[in-house]
Amino acid sequence: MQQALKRKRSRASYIGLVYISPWIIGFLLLQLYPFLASMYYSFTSFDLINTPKWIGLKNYVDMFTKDDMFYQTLKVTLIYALIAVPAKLAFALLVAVILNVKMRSVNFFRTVYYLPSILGGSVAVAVLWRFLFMKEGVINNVTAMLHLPAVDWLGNPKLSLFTISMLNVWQFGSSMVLFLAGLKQVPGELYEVGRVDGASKLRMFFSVTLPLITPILLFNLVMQIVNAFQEFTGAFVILPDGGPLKSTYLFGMKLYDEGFKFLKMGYASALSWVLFSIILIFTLLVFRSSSYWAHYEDGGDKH
Amino acid sequence: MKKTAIISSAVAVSLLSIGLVGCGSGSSEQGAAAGGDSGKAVTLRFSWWGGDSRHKATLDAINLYQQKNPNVTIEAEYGGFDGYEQKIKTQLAGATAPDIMQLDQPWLAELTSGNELLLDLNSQKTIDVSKFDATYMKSFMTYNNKVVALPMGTNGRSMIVNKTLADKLGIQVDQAWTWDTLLETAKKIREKDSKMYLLDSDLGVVSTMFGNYLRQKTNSPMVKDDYTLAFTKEQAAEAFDWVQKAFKAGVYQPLGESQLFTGKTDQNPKWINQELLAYDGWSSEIGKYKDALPKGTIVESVLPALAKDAKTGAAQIRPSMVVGINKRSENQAEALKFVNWLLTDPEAAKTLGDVRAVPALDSAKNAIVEANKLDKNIAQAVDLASKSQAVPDNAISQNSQLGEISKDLIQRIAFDKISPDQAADELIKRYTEKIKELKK
Repeated sequence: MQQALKRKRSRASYIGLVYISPWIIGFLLLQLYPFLASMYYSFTSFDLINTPKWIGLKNYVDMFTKDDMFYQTLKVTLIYALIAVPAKLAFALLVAVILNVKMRSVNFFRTVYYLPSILGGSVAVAVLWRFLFMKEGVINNVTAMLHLPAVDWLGNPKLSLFTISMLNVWQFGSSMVLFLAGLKQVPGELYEVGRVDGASKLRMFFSVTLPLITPILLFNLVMQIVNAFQEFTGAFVILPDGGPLKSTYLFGMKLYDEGFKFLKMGYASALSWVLFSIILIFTLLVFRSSSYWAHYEDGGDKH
Repeated sequence: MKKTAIISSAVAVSLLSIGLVGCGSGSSEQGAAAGGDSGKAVTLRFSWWGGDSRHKATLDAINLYQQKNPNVTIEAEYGGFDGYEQKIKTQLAGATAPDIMQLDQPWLAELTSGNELLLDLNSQKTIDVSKFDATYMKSFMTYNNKVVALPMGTNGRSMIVNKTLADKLGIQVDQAWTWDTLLETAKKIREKDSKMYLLDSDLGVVSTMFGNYLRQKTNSPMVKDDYTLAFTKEQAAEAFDWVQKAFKAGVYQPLGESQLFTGKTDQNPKWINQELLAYDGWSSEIGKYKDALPKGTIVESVLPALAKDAKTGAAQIRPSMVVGINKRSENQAEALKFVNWLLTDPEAAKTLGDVRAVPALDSAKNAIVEANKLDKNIAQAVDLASKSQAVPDNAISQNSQLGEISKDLIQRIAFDKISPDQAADELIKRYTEKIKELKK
């Protein structure tokens, strides 16, 4: 009797596995295997063409002791994340607040503001960005009409990274949608209480709205940090060689160059593991700190 | 209830296995087509990079071949140069590379350094390697005693001048350009119109010119075959000093502007709007640069800058691009047949014209000269270069990581972050380190 039950259960779990096999196969082949393989490659000298040769920690040692460009790209990527992430979140929240009104055509505007997020990752938009911001580009033509001096948005090493970050900020759509959903959740009576107490709009935003959407903010922050550190397409298409004085040479571009330009796949794998650890550390820091600033209505923040 | 669960899972499993079979079928089909007997249906993949005119001419040639050989289907995989190298290398590594590949000669050293990826053409019956110039084949196509590729054309380094613009500015085009006259001419141009520059400052181009400056001092590529540096610190400092002066005098467009068009100067608005007088490049690029200018603009090819006391010629000559056959190809015999036709048949030559510069074989060259399909500028560029040949590059000097070091230092010179003297010191230090690493 018991044995029969056991058999039944094991068959049931087997059938369950069959049902989710598309996902399992995908996970094993497309995620776990590459993950482990890149870990192995990071300890080898591997040029894509010949079989990898085990060299222990040499890739990591070289990275930290010999490769000046490694520190340069780390710096660039950190600054990029520091500009792009807060600016994008602030902008997304601002637009979400504006669009959180009851108006007849508001859905149209929501769609329009979401569009850059669909387009932003594409090569065509990066090319467009180049023509907007080049020295004789559209932006400078407009400022010239206002009698402002021309700015070398992409050619000046001090400005180029900022300009590239703006491309990321411009793709605020997905964060905006999430913020909008959060704003809809804020109970209306809280605003009523605020109005009765005579709070200003600004005060209500900071004392009512913001605390109540902190869980969304946390989610957005984590996602955007992960994305910002991995940014590649925009910077690569606009300035493929890393920009003036390598000022826009993001970590992802260095990774690509080492792997596919110099065929040092082992070294590139090691770089990607370092990037992975950096992202992991930042994410953990955000999660750790979140108990101080993210509030859950159901009391989920009290451990 | 239980039954349906079993049935549905069986369905799921069979669906899955169909999916897996679907994935595998591609290779089995290829296997069936192996052998390459004429008459059997064969599909070949052929990849190249280029501009529109090259794409069109090559597709026409493919069509012509398919008409003559109805059993052969050639799948064309073509695009721009940007990213092509990475794509081919990754495909070779992943065993998904096309049967026939257009390659750049400098890549051959890296591609032949380990596992054999390219078919040795020496021992093949279909292609007679001896038709090609022997010294040319030896210095550019032979690695580890194997002929791994064939030249698709001959390229000469050239300065391509916008003659219409030069006439307007009163600049004499037909002169023996030296490093000094470049500086003087730039000053003259910029006095007339401060929007104009003499040359484009694509980092690849500037670093080639930097290398040529040293080559003319030392009569050698930057790194010798025995992995020692050919130049002294003083010579490097002098070359960097020239680069610095050139950026200050306006020989080069400021780097911050041109970097948006790295590797595609023909799209640089300065070139299109005729605010750049000249371009330092290979003869195979001339068509692309002419196409970007308004109709009727006259262009002239001249020799690149040559120092008065130069120890070697002004211009390098090398295969414009080469074609290799994938060693893993299942249809090597058919691939060889096609390549042979493409490079040697007069009709193919006429269809292709000069889209890969001057054909390497004399018979093919004569065919397009007769058909009046050889561009005057391209012919002139190769002709001039062959009369003032510079000592050719060797494999180590073409290494992409060494090139990156020169580019980095030139960039810092251009932005005035480093003095020529410091740059020379750093160049020697970093080159020595990298060479040691590459020697292993």
